[in-house]
Amino acid sequence: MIQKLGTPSEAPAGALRGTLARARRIWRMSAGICRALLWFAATLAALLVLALADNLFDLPSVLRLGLGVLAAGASMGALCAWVARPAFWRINDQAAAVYLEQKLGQRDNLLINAVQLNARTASASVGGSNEMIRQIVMDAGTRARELALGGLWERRRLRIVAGASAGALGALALYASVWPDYAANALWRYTQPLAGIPRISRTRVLARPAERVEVLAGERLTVHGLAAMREGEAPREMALCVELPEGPRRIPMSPAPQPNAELIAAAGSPAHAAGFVYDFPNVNESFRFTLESGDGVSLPCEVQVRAKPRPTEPELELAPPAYTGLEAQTEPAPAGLVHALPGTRATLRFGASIPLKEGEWAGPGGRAPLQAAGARWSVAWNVEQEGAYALTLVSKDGARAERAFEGQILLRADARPAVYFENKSPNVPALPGGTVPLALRAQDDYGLKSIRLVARRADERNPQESAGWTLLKQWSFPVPGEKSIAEVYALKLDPAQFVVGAAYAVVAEAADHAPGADRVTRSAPLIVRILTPEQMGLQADSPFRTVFEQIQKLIELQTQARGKTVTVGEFLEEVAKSGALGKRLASIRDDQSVIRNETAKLTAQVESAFPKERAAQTAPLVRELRALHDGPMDRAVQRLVGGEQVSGAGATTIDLLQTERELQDEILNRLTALLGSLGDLDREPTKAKIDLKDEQAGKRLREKLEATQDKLKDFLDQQKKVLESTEELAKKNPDDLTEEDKKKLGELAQAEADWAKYFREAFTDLSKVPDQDFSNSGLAEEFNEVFQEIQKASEALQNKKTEIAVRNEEAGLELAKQLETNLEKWLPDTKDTEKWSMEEPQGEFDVPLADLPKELEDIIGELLDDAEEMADDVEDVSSSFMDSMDKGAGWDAADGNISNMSAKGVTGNRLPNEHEVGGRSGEGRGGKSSGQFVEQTADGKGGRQTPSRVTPDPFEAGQVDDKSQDAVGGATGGGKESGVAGQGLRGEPPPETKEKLQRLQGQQAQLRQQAEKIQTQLKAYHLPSSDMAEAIRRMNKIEEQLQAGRGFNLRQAHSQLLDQLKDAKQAVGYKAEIDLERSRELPKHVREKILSGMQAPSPQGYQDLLEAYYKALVETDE
Amino acid sequence: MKVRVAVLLLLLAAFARGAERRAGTIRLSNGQEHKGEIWFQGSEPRIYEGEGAAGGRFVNVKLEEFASLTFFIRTQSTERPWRFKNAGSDEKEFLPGEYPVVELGVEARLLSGQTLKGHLLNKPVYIRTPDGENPMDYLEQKFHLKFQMQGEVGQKAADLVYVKEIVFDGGEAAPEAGNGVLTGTLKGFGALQQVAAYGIDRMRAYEGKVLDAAQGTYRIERLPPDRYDFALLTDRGIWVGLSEQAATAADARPLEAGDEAAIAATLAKFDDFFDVQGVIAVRGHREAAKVVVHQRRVKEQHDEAGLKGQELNRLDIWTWHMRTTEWHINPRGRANLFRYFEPRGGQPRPIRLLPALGGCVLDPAREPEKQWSADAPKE
Repeated sequence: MIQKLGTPSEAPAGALRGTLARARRIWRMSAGICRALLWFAATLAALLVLALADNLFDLPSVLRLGLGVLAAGASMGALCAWVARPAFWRINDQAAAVYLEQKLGQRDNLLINAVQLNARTASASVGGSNEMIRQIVMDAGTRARELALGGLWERRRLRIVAGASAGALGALALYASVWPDYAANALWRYTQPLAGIPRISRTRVLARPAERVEVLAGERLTVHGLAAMREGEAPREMALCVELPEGPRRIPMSPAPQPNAELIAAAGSPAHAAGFVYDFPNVNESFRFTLESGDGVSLPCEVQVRAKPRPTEPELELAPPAYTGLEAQTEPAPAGLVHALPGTRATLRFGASIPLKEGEWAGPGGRAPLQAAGARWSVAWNVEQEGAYALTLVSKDGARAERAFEGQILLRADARPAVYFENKSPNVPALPGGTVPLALRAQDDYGLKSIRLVARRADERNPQESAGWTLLKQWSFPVPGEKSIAEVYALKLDPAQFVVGAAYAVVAEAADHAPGADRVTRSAPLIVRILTPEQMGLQADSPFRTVFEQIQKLIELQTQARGKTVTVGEFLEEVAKSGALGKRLASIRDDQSVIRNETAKLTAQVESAFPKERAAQTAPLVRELRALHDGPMDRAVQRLVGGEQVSGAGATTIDLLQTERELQDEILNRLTALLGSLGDLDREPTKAKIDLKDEQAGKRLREKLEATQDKLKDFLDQQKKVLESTEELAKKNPDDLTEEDKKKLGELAQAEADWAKYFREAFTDLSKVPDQDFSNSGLAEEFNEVFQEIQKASEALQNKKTEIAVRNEEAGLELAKQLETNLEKWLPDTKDTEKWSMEEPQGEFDVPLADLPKELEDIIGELLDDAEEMADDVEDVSSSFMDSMDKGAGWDAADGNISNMSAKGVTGNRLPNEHEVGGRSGEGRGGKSSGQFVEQTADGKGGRQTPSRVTPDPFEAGQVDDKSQDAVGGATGGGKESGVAGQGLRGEPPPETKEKLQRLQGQQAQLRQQAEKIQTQLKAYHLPSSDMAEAIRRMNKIEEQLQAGRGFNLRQAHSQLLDQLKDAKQAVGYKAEIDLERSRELPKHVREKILSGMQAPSPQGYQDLLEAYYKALVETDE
Repeated sequence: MKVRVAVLLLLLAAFARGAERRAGTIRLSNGQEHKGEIWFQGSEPRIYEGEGAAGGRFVNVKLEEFASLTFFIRTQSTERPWRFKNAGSDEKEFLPGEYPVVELGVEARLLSGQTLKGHLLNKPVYIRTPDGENPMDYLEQKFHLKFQMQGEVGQKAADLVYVKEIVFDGGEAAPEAGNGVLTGTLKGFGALQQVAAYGIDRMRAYEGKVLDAAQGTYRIERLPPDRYDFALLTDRGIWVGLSEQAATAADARPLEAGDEAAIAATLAKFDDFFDVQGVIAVRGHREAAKVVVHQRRVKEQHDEAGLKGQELNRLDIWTWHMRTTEWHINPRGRANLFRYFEPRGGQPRPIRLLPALGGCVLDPAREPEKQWSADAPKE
């Protein structure tokens, strides 16, 4: 800054100052403008370069972001730090003077000198003349006034940078005008680098939904795409690119019949467009997708999945109808199953996965809104109809879930009660006047309401008709009622009500408390047949026989007398007219008198004839006879005293006759009843006899048990001896065993071998299975079988057992590539006595697959060998040798241990050995084979029982027509598919069969669940359930085997299971009869013990058990 | 070099837990192409390397070792159905029609650089591709790799469709490498008579050639990449370099006391040509235990006279595994080291273990010929 000058004239100084100030301004402005123009040009150039780079190279978003930020930062930084900087330059007078002189070409430094000298003067410590300084300043001022400051502008530079700016602007404008889309695209891509804006392309791809869409979890989402082209054909393919957690997935979209209209409109109705569509059937996770078609990509779309409300921890409270007397129960209900009686009040309570606003229950019979109770919701309804129900939930944020929870309502039937008589036989013969005990039992699942005992005279044709039933007895039970009742009713067969000789049907009716009509169940009728005197009979040796006959006689006499009375009564007019009335009445009186007298005699006879020991038995008889004698019999006589004088047929006479008949009826009934009671008296000794028999039966039972116990003791002793003897043998050295010891060992070993036969596996065999190629799965169409009958050579000529052990040097392979030789074959006439044993080959051989003939030959003969006799010394050893035999296969048909690929083996008449063998062959006999089956059919030729084992043979194409039913062994896990043996197939099944087994497993599981349900009910009814438990255990076993794909003995398990279920059914049905028979035929002392057991104190040590037992009886078992 | 090392390490690591599936392409002879994830079901593919029925060898190859498999028609013929006219007669009767028979060879290129040529024992191969309808699911297909294909009557060879090529993605195959060679000098063991190398991962033995018995020089050729236990037989004895290493298995259970006795007890039940069998040593783990088994035929055999008073012996390494409680020999688990004769009634040569001879890693791609020498230990 120029300091203000002092004494020298201020005018030149002022001019100088002014000029310098102007110079400063010009300097700043020039620099600023240059810089601004340069910055502008650079910025535009950078924009252009970036835009072109993106257009050409489709820069990644990250790079664009980086470049954009970098460019913007650099630009702003340059603007602030460089372009604007000249405005803040501190330019002093000296600098301004220098700049001015330099720019305007002033070389004499006048201005700078003036500025500097002026500054010195001001500081007042100046050497030199003030006059000189003043002069210099004056000159400088004058010069300053004369200077044209226009030269200070950097015109050239300004022109250059302006040109550059213009050029940059022009280039950018050209780019933007020629390719506006590209420019705009680049601009958007740089300004929103992470927005996924695609590069401009010829193909415009639009998507709907676009940008962002919200979907409820589990809902469907349809994506429409449109590929539009200004010119040229629209692409025929579009892919939906989904970004999944495991990586991007590219899914081809299907062409849409019509492009989506909205997309067409958005695209501006392009000339060429193609529509595509893709359905996500079930969206559960949020994801992002774009559509790609041709060279175009759509904007990305975010699919946000919103959770649907769903119920959590549902529980169901079921309040049964009041008549059941049951309390409400609450249980978790994850499946929503409501299984309840009609009339039950069901309440479903649950929480919600997200806060709910409202909801609704819809089911059979209507709808109901949900009720909120704190954090949980509930809905209640009455169970009246079966059907499905569902909950609709609406969350607070508006998400609506239809059928968020579904369940099923099943009506539990309230079964009608069951009632039945516990009498042994439905036909009960009874004596008139006697007593028939009717034992009945009634049960109901929820509670009995009443039991009625009714009877009527049996109509032989329709004993069940409801009309005319007489109520004998009724028992009523208030709500909830007993679930099980046993009652006994003593039916007294009063001759006045129950006609002698007639049959009466007695029926028990039970009703429960369940509402509705027709809740009454009737038992099967019990037919009580009243015996006639003729039908009555005592035992031949009965002591009451005479009495019986005499009473019968009295009855006869009384019947006759009654008959007379009836006759006189009916023909009273005629008899009175004939004057015989008195006689008739007298006759009746006499008859009655005889009856009375006979009765007296009989009474005396009974009193005297029977010993005092029977007094208790005969006393009622005597009493009745006396009562009859003194009662109606005497009155019947007295009424007719003076009867001879009766002559008229008036009311008196009629009354007399009526009364007499009534008396006679009473006498008859009572005499008949006496017969019945006499029959009871007669049976008591029979009952005693029964007791005697029972006691004998009990004694026999005890004897049997004791005998069995002795046998068990013997068995235990024998087993102990066996164990001891084997222990003794084990202590001995093998060399010390005697012949007897060896024989003993052999017997034991044989028994063990029998058991282990099916499961013993020769450990070495599978490691020696040769490598076989199973490429060719062809089957021979025909198989010519020849049966040969061979006469077995005599035992004396049988070869002794030999081992043919062959080392590698002695072995050779033919490895025939073609089959040209067909040697004759025949069957041997001796048993297999050779044991073939070959050393394992050292080299590896690839056996050729010779072309097999379309017809194979077989020779079958009856087996000479017996599996039991084939010990280890004739069983061949497995070998890895495999050959393709042509010339060497023929003559004597014998077994060996070389697997052969030329299918020249025959079934033969020797039992296959226990070694593993491969190769190619027809059916042959069953044994441990792991080769290839090349015959179309299998008939079952028997063989060895083989264990199941997994061999390397693969599953092959081709199905064998298996007609065999032999269960000779298990599968190997490979081979061709055929049938199954009668007992099922052990081992690994073919893949198709395995799939079927797994489907069966699902069905079996459902059956098992039903069985478990039934078992629960059986337990609840205290009915036999052990058979059902066993059936369920077998079902579980079958399920396990099916799940594992094992078909072992499936058929056998299935039929055993069916038997078990039938047993369970029978057990339930016969339970009452079994109980009855047990109770009737148990020895008397056993019955008494059972009955008295209730009153007796608990035995020592059993108190807890008994307490638990009674507790279990009392508690409800659901 | 780095690629080779990486491939070897990859292979070794892959042996530990076999690859379940590998991405690749299956091309059929009719031009169809399927891309997806490929795997073989069950046991490893087995290639018979070599031509002709004898002189070759079976090689097990794991899925993760393959770079590619190329199948080609080795022989092709048109046959007529036939049958023998009569039993016992060589005369053939031809039935109407013709059918093609094609035998396929295979060239298997391994990641290690080896190429196996021969034919493949039939094997199913599976491939799965993403399901177009449900992006979360897969479509699975199965193809049969066959050695011999026989068509129906009336078909032509061109009608038979076969897998022509399987190419696996990733894992660039190392440059062409042949089989490896183990060679060396064994000093102080006696006059060398036989040498063998036992491949631990492939569980098979390879016979070697004695170059100079007195000097103890040997050579074992055609060895694929593997770890090897070395064994030698001299006039003085047998030495087996039984290392602790065994075939790699996931979650391998270590051997425990009593395992050797249990294996010996099971071995005693074996019915074999050799009537005397015994366990010499067991190493490894319970999933793949290497059991040195010595076998001897004592009883009389066919052509006993031809033996001239000698007894036939074998020394094998068998691979066993334990299931839950029982030991079982692996199918194809027998590998023969030596077959030799001892004078009947004489002193048999002792069998000794020398772990220093075992555990030799051979990577032919990196080191085609490896020196493996040893000096006899001082006794």
